[in-house]
Amino acid sequence: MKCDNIIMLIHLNHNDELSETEKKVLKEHLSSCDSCRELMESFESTDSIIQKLKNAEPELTYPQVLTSDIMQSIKENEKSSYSMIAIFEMLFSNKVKVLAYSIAICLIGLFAYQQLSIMNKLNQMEKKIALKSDETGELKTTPLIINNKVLKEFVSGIENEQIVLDKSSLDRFLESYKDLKTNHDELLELLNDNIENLEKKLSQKDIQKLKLLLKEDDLERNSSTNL
Amino acid sequence: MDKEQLLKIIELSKKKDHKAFEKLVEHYQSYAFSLSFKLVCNDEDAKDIVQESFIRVWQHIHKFNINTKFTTWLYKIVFNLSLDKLKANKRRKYVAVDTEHVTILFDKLVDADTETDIANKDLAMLISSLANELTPKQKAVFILRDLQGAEMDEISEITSMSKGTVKSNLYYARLNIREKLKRIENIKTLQHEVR
Ligand SMILES: [Zn+2]
Repeated sequence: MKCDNIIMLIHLNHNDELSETEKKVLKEHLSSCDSCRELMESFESTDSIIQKLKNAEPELTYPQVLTSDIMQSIKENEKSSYSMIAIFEMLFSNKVKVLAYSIAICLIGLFAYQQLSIMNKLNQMEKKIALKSDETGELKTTPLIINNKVLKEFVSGIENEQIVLDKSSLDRFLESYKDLKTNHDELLELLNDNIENLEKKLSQKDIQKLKLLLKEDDLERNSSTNL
Repeated sequence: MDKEQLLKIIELSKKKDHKAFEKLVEHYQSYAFSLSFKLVCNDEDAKDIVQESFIRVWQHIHKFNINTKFTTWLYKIVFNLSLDKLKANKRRKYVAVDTEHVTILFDKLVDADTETDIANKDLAMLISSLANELTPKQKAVFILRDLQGAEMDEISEITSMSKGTVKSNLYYARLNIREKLKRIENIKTLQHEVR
């Protein structure tokens, strides 16, 4: 193997950095190549400097002050969120509360309506996918434009540049809005207005974008530190 | 703090026990500070990051999974906040690097015993002059691996990078830093010969 291909291995030869195969390749090459061996040996002195730097720990001055600052801000955060509720409880009479709640419910309804129209689009899209698969026996590129984070919920992955929909979460979602009363004609009109957007083919850019969204979502799920 | 104690404290913290959480902060704040300081190379910013990190730990402690290492989880938060800071400060040079002073510092380091006692200000200057050509990610991987001694899998977890990405970042970081250290060593040898 050429020295150029070995250099990365030379730089990554601490403990668990290389696989067993890589270790073997490196060892074999070093036994027959003086210049690479010399290069590797030359790192002994540079690494001893790094080692000394590793031993130097920054000093945290006034640790008690930091601890009490942290505890203070935690308590303040809690106090302010408690007092928000308290203010809400105190300031608003029953009538105002009822009004506020109705507004909230209206907003939720509006949101649900939008979600429902998206769901319908997705359903149509699914039909299209089904049609396409009937015609050709295999799935072709899905006509879809990715401009809504909601989609993230219903896409389970990407296979061979194809979007794989999560059927069960789609169903669950539709099920939860089953009882919502909507004006059918209006909904159809809205759909027709927007259906053009769905006709666009899935571009490489859209796939990348979606992959990114899915990746972000994975992070959230795995780490719970998406802060 | 052994594992059993830690789990107990986390359990109590999940129930919003301030006293227990305070113990957690006391025990781990210098650990968090070490990483944030090495990443941002500034005392005040590092402390701010530690503070913000523990506030987030408190807010999200109910999501902490006892099967993961607490320090990995903490490091992940510290890492993300530090990287945000680094990116925000990208435009301006964070530590004014005084080349002459850095040379003296490196000389001291080369001659030092294994026990190294360096003032924060000097440590910040050493790290930032060593890593000044690295991208924030390369710098972070180098610091986690070579200065904090984290394992490869852990680094992958902390940085949310694949193992392959961690490896390539580490490779470029070491390539750059080792070359730089060699140049510094060569200058030192030359100086000795002249004398
Ligand atoms: Zn070679």
